[in-house]
Amino acid sequence: MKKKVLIVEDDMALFNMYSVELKIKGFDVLNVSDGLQAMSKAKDYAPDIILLDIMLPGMNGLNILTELKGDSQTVDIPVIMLTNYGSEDNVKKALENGAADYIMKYKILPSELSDKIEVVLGTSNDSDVRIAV
Amino acid sequence: MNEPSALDAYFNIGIVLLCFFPAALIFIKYKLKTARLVKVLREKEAALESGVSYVKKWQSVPEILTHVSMLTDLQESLDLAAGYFLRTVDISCASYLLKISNGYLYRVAVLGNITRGFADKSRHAASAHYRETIGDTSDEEILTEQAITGGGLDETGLSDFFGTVCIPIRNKDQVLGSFCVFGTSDSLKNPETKLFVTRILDSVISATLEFKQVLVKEHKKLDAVLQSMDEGVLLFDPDYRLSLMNRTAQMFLGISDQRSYNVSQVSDIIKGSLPVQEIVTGVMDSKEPKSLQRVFVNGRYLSFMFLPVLINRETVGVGAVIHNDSEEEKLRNLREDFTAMVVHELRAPLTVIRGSADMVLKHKEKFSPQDVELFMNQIKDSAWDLLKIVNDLLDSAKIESGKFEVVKEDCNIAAVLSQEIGNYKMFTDSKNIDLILDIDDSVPIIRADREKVIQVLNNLLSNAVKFTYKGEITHMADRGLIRVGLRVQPKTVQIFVADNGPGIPNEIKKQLFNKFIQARESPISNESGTGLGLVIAKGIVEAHGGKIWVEDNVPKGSVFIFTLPFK
Repeated sequence: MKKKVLIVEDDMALFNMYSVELKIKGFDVLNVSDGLQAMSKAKDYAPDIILLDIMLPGMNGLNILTELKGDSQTVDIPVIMLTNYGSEDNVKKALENGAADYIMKYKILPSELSDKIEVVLGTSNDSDVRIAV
Repeated sequence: MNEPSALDAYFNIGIVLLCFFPAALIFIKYKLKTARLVKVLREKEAALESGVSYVKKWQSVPEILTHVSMLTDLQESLDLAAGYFLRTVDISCASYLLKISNGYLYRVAVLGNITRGFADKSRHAASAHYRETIGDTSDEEILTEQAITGGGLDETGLSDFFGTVCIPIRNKDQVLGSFCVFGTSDSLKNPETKLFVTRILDSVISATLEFKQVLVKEHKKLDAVLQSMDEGVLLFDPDYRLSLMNRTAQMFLGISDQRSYNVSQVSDIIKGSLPVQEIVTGVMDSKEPKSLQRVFVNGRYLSFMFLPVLINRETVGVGAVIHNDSEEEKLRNLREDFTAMVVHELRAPLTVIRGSADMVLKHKEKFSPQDVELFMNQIKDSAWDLLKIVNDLLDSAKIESGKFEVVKEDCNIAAVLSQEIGNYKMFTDSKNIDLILDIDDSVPIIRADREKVIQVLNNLLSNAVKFTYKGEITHMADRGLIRVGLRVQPKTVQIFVADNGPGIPNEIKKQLFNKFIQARESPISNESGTGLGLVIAKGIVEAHGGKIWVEDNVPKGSVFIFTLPFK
């Protein structure tokens, strides 16, 4: 069965890249571009993993993370934060609040994205691979 | 007859007399004249002598005034004057009776010892003069505190004086006391001496009181400056007590009362964030200034400059100037935020360009032509975004440094507006926004930089679209509304872009056109974009000699308005 990925990202160009790449790699992908829908889609779609952008219009991804981790229905879904800000604070806060990992968007190519997802999902062949960001 | 007769003798005598009489007359005349001359000369000599002494006395006046003018204490000045008279005028004693806050003071300056009788007699003379001056006709003796300087009471000492000159000590109309000099013999009979004493005393008193007045005035001025300073000022005296603290320092350090603190108490108040005691002691000993930057005290970042206060190389205290770094701190934070935001804005299109290109390269076999087109378009659009950001940064940097220039030429502003609105129409239609154009009739051709004016319009329109589309309006009504208009005024055209988006809070309105504030506090910071659009719009409008501002739209939304002069 295909693993499902929910991508919460408002930048359509980035979403296109990630979703096409992940589909090629055999994932099922759903996108939401605004924070308000993230929570309900996380419940309805029941993804295996969520890629969550920190900087969303009108809403901070960290707040959505807190909400996800505070709800019994979504608490166990691993979340990888997406960011292009080098702010240590945000990353630290995300990891403290239960994010499985984070990705600096500008540092990775779409083709490297699936590797990171697999490491988090524990489906990677190389279980020693640590996510380098 | 050879014997001289008596007649001959008389005759001879007569001849002799006749001969000698004119000579004698001349002699007597000469003698008288000489005597007169001598007298005149003597008189002149005497006058000269007294004149010389008079001049000599006056020549030393500046010397005493130099000393006196440094004193603000009248008593000290009078002591100085008394000592001065003892040295320069032939007197046995100089004394003064002075009204002080709790009674009267009598001080006598002598060069040797005096008897009690002398002291009492001189005091009676001074108090009699004082009573007379103030018009007190009673015979009551004025009780005084008494002090003798330069000598003491001794029954073998000077027992009497001759001649007295007493002068009232006045401050304007107020009689403060009497100053007396007592002669040795007839030394005070010379009216010039009295004049001399009077003049010196007047000068001494007025110099002292004027200096005091000047000092009080200067002190007030200095205090006003100190109190109105944005910097905090502290002064520790050599006993490590806080002798001066202005209002700003009180506010910075959270000290509200005026108690006299010592340095360790001040240290306690600052609560360990700054070792004040250690620093003040160090500066006092080393005489070297010491500065501390960015000390966090009571919620503020403060910088401290401790300076030794030196008089003739002697440390007489340590001063501290406290500067509030918080504003700079805030600006620094804003700059950092701005830089982070710019970096983010540059990274976003670069991430897309790099990723999309990689996708096409890696998956070209799997990709359909539509896929390739999608990613190639993403590369093109992102490159365009990147270019726009770089141009905006460059423009805003030019505006900031005052090097932004516009090239004015004849410009049909009504046509420019119509064309731009036409370009936007398709875009707004796709977002369910009505775009309405409302232009006055007979709009003149103005002198303007066409490209730059289009840039302003684009910035305002894209903001309006962004907020009308993303704002609550999408949840509340089906369609957004943007109204663009042009009004012809006497010397300018006024162009407005009104939206019915969520509007802009008042506190942000003022800062909207400010580069760094924008990055952090404007609602645009939640949106993509550098937020430089309005900064650049303002720069362009002002370079044309126009103005730009924002108002609330009715019933909701914002109106951005700018003017462009005809010429």
